Amino acid sequence: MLLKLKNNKLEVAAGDDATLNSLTLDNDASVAETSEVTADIVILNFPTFKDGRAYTQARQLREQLGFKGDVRATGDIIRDQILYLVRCGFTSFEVSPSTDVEGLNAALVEFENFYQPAADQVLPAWMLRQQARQKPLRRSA
Amino acid sequence: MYRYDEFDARIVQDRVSQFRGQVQRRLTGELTEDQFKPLRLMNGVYLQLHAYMLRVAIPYGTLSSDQMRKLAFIADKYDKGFGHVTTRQNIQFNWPALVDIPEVLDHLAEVEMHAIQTSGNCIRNVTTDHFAGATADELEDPRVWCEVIRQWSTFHPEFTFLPRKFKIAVTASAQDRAAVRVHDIGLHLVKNLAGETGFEVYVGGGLGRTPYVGEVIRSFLPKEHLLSYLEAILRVYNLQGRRDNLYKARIKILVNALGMDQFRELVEAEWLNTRETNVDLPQEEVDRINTYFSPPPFENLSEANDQSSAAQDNSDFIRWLKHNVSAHKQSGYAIVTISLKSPEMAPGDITSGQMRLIADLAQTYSFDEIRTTHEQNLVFPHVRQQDLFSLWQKLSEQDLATANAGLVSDIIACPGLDYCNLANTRSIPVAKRIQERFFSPEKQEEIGELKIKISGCINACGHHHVGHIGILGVDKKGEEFYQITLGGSAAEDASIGEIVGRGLSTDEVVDSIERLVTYYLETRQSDERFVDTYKRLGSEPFKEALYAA
Ligand code: HEM
Ligand code: SF4
Repeated sequence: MLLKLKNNKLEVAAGDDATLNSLTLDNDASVAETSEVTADIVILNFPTFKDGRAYTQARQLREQLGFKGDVRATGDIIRDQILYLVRCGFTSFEVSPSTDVEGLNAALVEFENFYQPAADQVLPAWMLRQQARQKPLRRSA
Repeated sequence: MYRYDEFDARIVQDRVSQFRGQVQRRLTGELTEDQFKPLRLMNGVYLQLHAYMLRVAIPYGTLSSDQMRKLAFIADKYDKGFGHVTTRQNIQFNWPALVDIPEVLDHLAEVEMHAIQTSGNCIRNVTTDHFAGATADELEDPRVWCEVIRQWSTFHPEFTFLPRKFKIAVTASAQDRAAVRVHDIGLHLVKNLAGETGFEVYVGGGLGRTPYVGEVIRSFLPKEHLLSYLEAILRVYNLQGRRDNLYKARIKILVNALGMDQFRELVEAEWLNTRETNVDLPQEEVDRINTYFSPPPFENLSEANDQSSAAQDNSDFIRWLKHNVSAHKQSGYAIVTISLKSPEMAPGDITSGQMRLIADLAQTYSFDEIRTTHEQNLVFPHVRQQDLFSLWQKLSEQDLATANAGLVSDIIACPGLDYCNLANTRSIPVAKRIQERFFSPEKQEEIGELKIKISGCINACGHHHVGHIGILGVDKKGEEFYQITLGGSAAEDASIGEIVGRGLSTDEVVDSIERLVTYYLETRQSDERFVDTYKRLGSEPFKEALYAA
């Protein structure tokens, strides 16, 4: 089952993206040494959810290569890592059909604030503090 | 002390709710133990021999009286009236039931505490010099940078599933009380030739089964780039650290395999990228954090020890002054080490009654501030010299005035076979027997600084590799043996102790250590410490003494 991120919410995708061209990157492939990605989708794998290499690879794709397409996670994906995945720039997820999509969506909004910037557009706490000092009572992300 | 603002508070509260949900899902069976394990570990919940254990974070070892009182409450309600101060400045409770842990976390959150990242393969609670903000020999208060690192590393989305745990320590003194060179990253605040302060960065230290002393990766890192540089190191490690073998997964193995030069090149290349992000804090935010660490309102006092004859004639007090009281940067003040190594207690253990007394005394005598040390003791950082005698009297009432800081009975010991399911041998009983053997305070004083560290297995939780005398429990055909290492140090002269020979039986071990000490006393020159004599004479004569029976 394919889930896609839209407005910070996961939805079951209708089609299977068969017409788009995708690139599968191994966990030991160096994103840093890649100069350009022309594919629409880059697929990164989690052999087990404890293997966190693809978090870095996704951030490098987004922040260093400026990749604007879809970054897709496959493999062992569990609810408790979904927020980290989204923060690192993943936008779609190949999960087993039995996955509790509502649970994943709940996990996406478990935290309201974050200390550090990542590949998502969320402002880190220090920026919110700065804004709060400038404009008391108004916070926005 | 750092105080939470609305953002810090919300992040911790959200974490408690999240963990409550995870426990719920485990209890209903939705999560398997295999799936739950890394999640609970990330929140300091271990499964031990007898029960779950909760490790509560004490960021960089700084506590207020209110926080200490809350720990006492938790010890009474969820443990058996004890807490255990760890070698990473945290505190552990050994008996909480899993279902109660979310409630414990609620209690902790009320006093701005948590158990976030006290275990698991993530960036662990950052540690520092327990004399920070009080000692005269520091460049600036390192806790400001610890708090910067605490915030950055909390729920870092990229570095929560690292190959292995990751420990960072910071010091700002030439005298290293934070063991920075046996951490994955050690940060040492230094001044460069232009007079600016920045970090000397060490990487690749660590204990465990393959101990390494960290090496310098960068001799001067401008402070404003701390986080982007850390992020670059972590990124190289996350991508290239080994994941095929648990015992080869720490960064020390990667650094050693690549060599420091190549590792440095990779980090510097990655740093060009991380510097372009918003990860480095603007000065304004560092200043905001800095204000929380401004010195307490010291009085203008002159150097003044208690001149009363009651104090001056009390040899126990005088001995305590000598060993447990250190110089303060502010005239008329002193730093007090409260030993948790009384012969009556397991090293690092503290009762709820003692916690409450300490909380009260800290309020009266130490501007409401308490520190935990990696040597499993406590510190009052800011005590008026004129109050030392009355403080000592009050500490004595609850067995908290043992005058042994840095001496032979101030032993670090891991929980060992009494609590730990990985242990080969007992650790605490050996510590107790050594303390008994060197019971006499006069004898301890004669021996001087001697750091004994005991681990019940090769995981080295008791830091035996960096003990002046290290004791490692090994299993030989079902029997407990102890292997001795000599000449280790976790301080600025960091080194890994050398194994001197065959393991010793439980019966032999204390006698053998006494022979080592006797040999040292016979051969030392002037005020040489044990470890200095060892370094001067080499291992041979000590080896002979050890096995002389
Ligand atoms: C059931 C109890 C415990 C178990 C099962 C346990 C397990 C372990 C393991 C497996 C390691 C090695 C990790 C590695 O090499 O990467 C380790 C290291 C360590 N443990 Fe424990 N531990 C326990 C209790 C404790 C306690 C109570 C403390 C603190 C007093 C402690 C402090 C440490 C420290 C400081 C290290 C790090 C050595 C290094 O820097 O490499 N552990 N522990
Ligand atoms: S050193 Fe070994 S025996 Fe001691 S606590 Fe660690 S794992 Fe257990």
